[in-house]
Amino acid sequence: MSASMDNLSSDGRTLWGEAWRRLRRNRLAMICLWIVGFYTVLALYGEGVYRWHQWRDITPSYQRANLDKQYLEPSPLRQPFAAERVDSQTGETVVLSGWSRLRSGMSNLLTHPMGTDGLGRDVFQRLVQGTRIAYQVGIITSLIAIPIGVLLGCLAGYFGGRTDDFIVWLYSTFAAIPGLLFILAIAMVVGQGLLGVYLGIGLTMWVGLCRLIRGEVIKHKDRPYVTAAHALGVGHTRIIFRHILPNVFHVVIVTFTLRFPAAIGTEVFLSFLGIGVQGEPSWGIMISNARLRLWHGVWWEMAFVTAAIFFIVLAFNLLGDALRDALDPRLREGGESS
Amino acid sequence: MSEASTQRSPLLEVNDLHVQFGPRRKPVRAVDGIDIVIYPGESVGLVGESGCGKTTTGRAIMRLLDVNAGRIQFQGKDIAPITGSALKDYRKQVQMVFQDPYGSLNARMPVGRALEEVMQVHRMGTRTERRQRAAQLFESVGLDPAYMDRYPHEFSGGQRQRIGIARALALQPQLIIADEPVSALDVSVQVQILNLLKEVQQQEQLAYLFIAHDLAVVGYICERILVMYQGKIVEAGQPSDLFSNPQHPYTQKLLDAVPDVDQALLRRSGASE
Repeated sequence: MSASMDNLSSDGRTLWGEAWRRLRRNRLAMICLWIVGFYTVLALYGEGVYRWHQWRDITPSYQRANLDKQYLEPSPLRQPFAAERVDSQTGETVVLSGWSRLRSGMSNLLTHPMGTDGLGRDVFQRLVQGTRIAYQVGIITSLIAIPIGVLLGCLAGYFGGRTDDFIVWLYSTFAAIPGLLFILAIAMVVGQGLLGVYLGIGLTMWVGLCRLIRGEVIKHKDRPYVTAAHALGVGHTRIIFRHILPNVFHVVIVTFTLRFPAAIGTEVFLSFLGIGVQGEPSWGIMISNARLRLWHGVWWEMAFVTAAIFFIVLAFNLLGDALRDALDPRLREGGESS
Repeated sequence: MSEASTQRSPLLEVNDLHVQFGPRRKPVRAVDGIDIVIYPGESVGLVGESGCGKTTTGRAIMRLLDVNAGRIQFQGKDIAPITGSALKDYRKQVQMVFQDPYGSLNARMPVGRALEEVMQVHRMGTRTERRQRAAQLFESVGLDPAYMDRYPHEFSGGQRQRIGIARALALQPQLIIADEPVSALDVSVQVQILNLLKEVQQQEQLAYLFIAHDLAVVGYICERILVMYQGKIVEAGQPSDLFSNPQHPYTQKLLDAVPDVDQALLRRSGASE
């Protein structure tokens, strides 16, 4: 009898493992994953800088006005390797050469690589802090939205009937409120600032996920493996969370990847309007500040911030699409009878 | 056999079972008043064409469907109205093997874990004991316990059906309802699975309600056959009687539908000469 085991596929692979293998084959997805990873490192670095300043109880440089350094261009445009340099203390012109020229050039390159803004603050540092805020918003809103969406979606899909009616009514009501107005209303209640952003985005974002999960659960609840679980005497809670949920969890992952940049976009927009982040360098606030001097040729703040937003949104969206392809069971090799 | 079994009390007794679907005013009578009696250790076959209500019967007995009328008595207790923990206890005694070996296992759960879960749900033993018992079950259905941590998609259809049987055996039930357990498998694998079912029946003193559309399969494994047609049982008897002397015209038709290779060969050789 054990001889019949020979035709087992050669090595043990989970379905998640296979999905990862498929994702690896998609070059664009891997590039996007690297970009997302890069932003994540940037956000963690920003968090470190923020925490360090908080711990030392000093105002970080990206918050401090330094009017001597207003509107410095990005360092490569400031002729960092110039042979002459004005000594800041004596006011004399110093001629540099050779090794010291290279050294001062390198240090010039590293100071304000993306220039400074109207208050002389380093654009790069502020961009990093913006990344930190964006990640915070993306993660915390997901932490609010995913549990609500998954739980309600599972309950609605699994139990059907009255439960389903109520939950569908609930999310239809939420979906019918114009998103921005809802967020504004929440900002009115809890006050401006990050809390309002978290709640506003989090409490609207669960709707889409809930609807998707409900649909998937409805699809799965009459599958033979669920019937088998019923016949074995497995309880409802266990069937929902141990049997159905793992089989529909790919929806959560894909939705998370697609909603994350959407949440970031909303945060930027709210901060741009002035009802979002307060007193911290969010991307939205940076854009709002940058537009004032844009027509005077101060392009760098606007350019770098929009590029940062562009790449993170693009990377997350492409990654989300690739994940959907990789995780979709219908494309699974060997085919499932369904 | 039937002489001896009538003296024992029946394990399962179904009286006048009705299951209906659809609107109340004009329902579809999927099961329309059937009676089944199964004695301990006996295997009873339920055959019929697709749509005749045999699967519905099995699911109603398993209490996966609501019963509209009639009684299902298991060891003398009516199980049609029970709920909650009583139903859970009942399901410990009666288990099911499903038709679709691909779909009836959770794709995201290692197969050994699936066996352990059943025991966990019914609070049997400690974690290590359950693990050991799962390994034993794996061996008893002819699988290598080394593959317990694999996922269902890594097994072939026949192997998955073995896992399905192992899962049904985990609770040491007295009755197994086998709903077309081999019809989704290759013919060569069918015999292996049927032999396995026979083997475990002898070991565990099981009773079977064996649902199939294939008379040859049922005749191979069952001591008594019930023929179902349009929600009713039209004929019952031992395989030999049924095959040699079918009473109901539908049974006749079913028998004709079995491809009899020997007769066909005979006829062909006669024609060519």
